[in-house]
Amino acid sequence: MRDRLDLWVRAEPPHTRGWDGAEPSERVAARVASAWEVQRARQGQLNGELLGPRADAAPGLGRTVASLLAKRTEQLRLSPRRTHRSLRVARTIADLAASELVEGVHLDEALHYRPEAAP
Amino acid sequence: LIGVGTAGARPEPVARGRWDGLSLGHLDAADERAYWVALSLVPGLGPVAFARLLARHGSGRAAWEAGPAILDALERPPPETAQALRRMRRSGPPAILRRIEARLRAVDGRVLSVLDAEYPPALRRSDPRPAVLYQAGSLAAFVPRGVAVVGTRRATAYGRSCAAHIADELARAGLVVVSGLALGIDGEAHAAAIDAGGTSVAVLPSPIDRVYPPRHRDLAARLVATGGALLSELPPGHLPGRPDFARRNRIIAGLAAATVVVEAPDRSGALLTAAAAVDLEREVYAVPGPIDAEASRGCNRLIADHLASIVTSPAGLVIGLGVRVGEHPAAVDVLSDSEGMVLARLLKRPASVEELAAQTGYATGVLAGALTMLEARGLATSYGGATFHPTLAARRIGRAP
Repeated sequence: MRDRLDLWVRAEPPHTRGWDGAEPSERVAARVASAWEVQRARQGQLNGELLGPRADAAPGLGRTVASLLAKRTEQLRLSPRRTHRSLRVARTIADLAASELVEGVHLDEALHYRPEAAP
Repeated sequence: LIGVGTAGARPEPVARGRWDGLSLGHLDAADERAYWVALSLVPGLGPVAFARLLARHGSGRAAWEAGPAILDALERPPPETAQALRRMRRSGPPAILRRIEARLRAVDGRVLSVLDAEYPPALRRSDPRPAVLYQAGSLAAFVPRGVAVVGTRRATAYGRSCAAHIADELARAGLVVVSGLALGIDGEAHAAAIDAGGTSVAVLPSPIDRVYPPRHRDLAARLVATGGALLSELPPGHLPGRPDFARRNRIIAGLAAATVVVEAPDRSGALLTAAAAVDLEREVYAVPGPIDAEASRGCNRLIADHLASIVTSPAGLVIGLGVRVGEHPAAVDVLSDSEGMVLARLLKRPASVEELAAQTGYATGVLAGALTMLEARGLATSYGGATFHPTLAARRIGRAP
């Protein structure tokens, strides 16, 4: 089940301090909209709609990041499903950061949002 | 036993001197084995009654041949005792032993009776002791000093982390980690001992050919493959019933020179192990927890009631046990600035991404990536929660000059 979720965000209970510096929702919405635009222009569909093999050939995935992904798959014992999902999430993180290339930091951040195996 | 929070089942009352007063030197282990196994299978006939029978009849064979007199040795024999005796008499002890040994061969196991030289020495020093045990794995695992590391099945991240650190430290000091293979603290302790290159012994609440809990079957196999052993009081092929945790826990305490309770709420089975260790006059340690943590109430009470010594650090525990601690190998690894900084923070205190962000001012994305890298290198783990803890490997790096 958990393997079919794209994002798994671990959160602390909300607190009232530190809300001032948060990015306003309108600005986040604008970033999301522009990321969608970029994705449609590039591949004719959203990253979330890329199926397994197409996600593998994710545009802008360099050879170093591909080999990093292979390494992380082994180190973190990822399933093929998780590998594909994390790649799509990494592509999205790169899009939100307005980066043409998917970089190692994007991939590692994407992997952070993977569901933990049940203890 | 008074003062230990074990409402509910208690270990059977102490009967000091039952076994120690017996002379068994004249008995031949091979000759007696079938009778000992048969007697140990009689329902209601525990180690105390077994010793009484031996004292009365001189040998297992004589006791068996005395027939219904076996019932006289029991204070209140349950109704199924007489029935089981009649059934066992039809096949006879040698056939019963042959059947058990056939099953033992399938798991490379053996019968160990008090008469065998290989019977675990620490258990031999406990009284009363189980007359017959079933064992798989290495007999050498019983020779070094054992320390029991036990605790709740519903362990918190704190409990798991403590169990791993303690077992790791004990294993590196050359001590054998003894536990019950249960989920939670027990499993964490066994796994950490093996990962540290040490040896571990598991006492099962089930027969050795039917490892319980099933989720730890691989762990049990790993334990045997790394020079450890599985031990059970139940014969192989014994039908799965309610696992007998109280008797299992007495064996754990008996095998160990000291028992460490890592995390235990009130009424935890781990407190029965502690009670048994107190009873056997072995050392008892408990890891303290926050005073408002349900999961640590049993441990905190053991300390408050002076039934257990407090564990303030894994290294301190090993020193307290009188073992010289060797040098830890330093793992040198190249970390980026953000990764090194995150690890340094975690070594001071486990933290969530949000806490790290508040402390360091790094963006959560950067921290998330750094944590994945630390996880991939086995330097940090979240145990499935929001808070990240440094692993053993990370602590060793942290300690290196």
